[in-house]
Amino acid sequence: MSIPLVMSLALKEWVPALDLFIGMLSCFVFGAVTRLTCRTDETASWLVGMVTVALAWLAAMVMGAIPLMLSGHFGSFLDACFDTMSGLATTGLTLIQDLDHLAYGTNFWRHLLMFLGGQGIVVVVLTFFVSGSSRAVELYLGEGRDERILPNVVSTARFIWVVSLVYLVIGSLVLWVTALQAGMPPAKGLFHAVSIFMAGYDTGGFTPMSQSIIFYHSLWFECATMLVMFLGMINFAVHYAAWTGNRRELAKNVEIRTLGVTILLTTSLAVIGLAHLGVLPDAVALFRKGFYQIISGHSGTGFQTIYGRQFITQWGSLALFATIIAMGLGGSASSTSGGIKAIRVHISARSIWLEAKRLILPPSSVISEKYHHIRERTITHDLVRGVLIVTGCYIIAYLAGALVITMFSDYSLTQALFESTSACGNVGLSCGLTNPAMPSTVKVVFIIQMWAGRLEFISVFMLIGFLVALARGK
Amino acid sequence: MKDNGWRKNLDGVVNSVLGIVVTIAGIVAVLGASYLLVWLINAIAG
Repeated sequence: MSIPLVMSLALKEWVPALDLFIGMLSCFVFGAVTRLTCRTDETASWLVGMVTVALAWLAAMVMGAIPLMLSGHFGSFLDACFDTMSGLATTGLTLIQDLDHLAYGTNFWRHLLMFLGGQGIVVVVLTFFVSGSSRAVELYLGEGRDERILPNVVSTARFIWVVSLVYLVIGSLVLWVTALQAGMPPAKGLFHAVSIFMAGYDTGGFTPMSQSIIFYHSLWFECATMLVMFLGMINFAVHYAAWTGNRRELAKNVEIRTLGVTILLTTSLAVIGLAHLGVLPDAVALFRKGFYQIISGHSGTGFQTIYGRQFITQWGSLALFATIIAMGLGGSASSTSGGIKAIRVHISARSIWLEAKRLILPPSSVISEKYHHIRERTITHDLVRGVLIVTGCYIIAYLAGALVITMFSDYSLTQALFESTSACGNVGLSCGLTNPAMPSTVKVVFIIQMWAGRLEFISVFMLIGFLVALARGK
Repeated sequence: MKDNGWRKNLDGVVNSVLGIVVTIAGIVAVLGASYLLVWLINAIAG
């Protein structure tokens, strides 16, 4: 909170600065209390590491919500918690009121939440506050990152930050130039460029203005944000390969190829649906409205170049279905994207092919399937089982969320499925359902979906198991 | 040894810059190809 606090002081926003200071003070008090009460010299087990991550995200939500609540732009503390979890989980759904008049410091805090959450709260700690790697791996894996780019987890975390900060400079510069070209004043343009970059690269979706990307009315600004969203969709291991001379990995990597296929399919479906309806006049409009929403959904960003209600009133069932599929699939593993992830989609599809081959070929045949991710890897039973468990969890969470929302509100199942997939896949596209007036139960369901979806369920299951065991006195 | 270390660092920086350039160029190419795809589908189905 120190960065937005300094920003508020520099801009003479005294009240938001006080809000942020109170937030910082609360964090210090909370930190001191937990340090005094929870400190132990025992080595943390795998279970404790996972449970710590799950609880750390909930604690970060409550602490991060304090300055937002004090800003007076939220109807309740639950709404502020909703926005904080949405920021940390890089979702982008928001319940803020009168966003266009929010102070710069508080607005920057919302976007910084995304930048921190995208890299991972634990990754932040490992990068800046941990010198050794002892027991760090449990925390790192518990945050939904399932591969180590470098042998040491702390080095991996630091590399993730180096990539992000380098792209922050390049991306913000590109967006700033396009913002200036669109007619924004330099200082305001820079604030928007940095904020939009942080939300786009971390596939978050918060924007400084309530109209999302529609506000800018610029084809070049939209193209620049698409570039940023694509960057955010790429696995950090692929970034590492490209940065260390293995540039062919960009073309050979299985996740990049899978994303190519799924983007092609979902874009085709959406554009065919929209072209049949004739709601958009030409190819440029289809590119700026149709393709943009697919990329925004597929990357898990949630930037919108159309108003939420247009999904329901104009898009028709085929384009809406394509958008839900794109949101559900998500980007790459070990990127800032949410959703099922390209690697799991690929392995799930290949496992079906593998089973078909087993049925056709003689029982004595030795069947082996390989895929290329940084190096050649074999598809094993254990790998397929792990992939199918997480994929199944996502699909169940998308559907269960939609059913719960339908039960507790007046929304249709299609609207509920769209919004549920958006929340659990950490996307942030909204068909207008997410607003401050929606029932508290639905808000809580969305918070749980965003949290569980970001941590890829395992840490949350560990926490539930831990609490059940605790209740039984074990 | 000192020269080799300096050279290694320079190679690392050059590789990183090339990596960034190739990544961004690749994404721009994908955006261009996507526009062509949208234009083609619109021409056929629109």
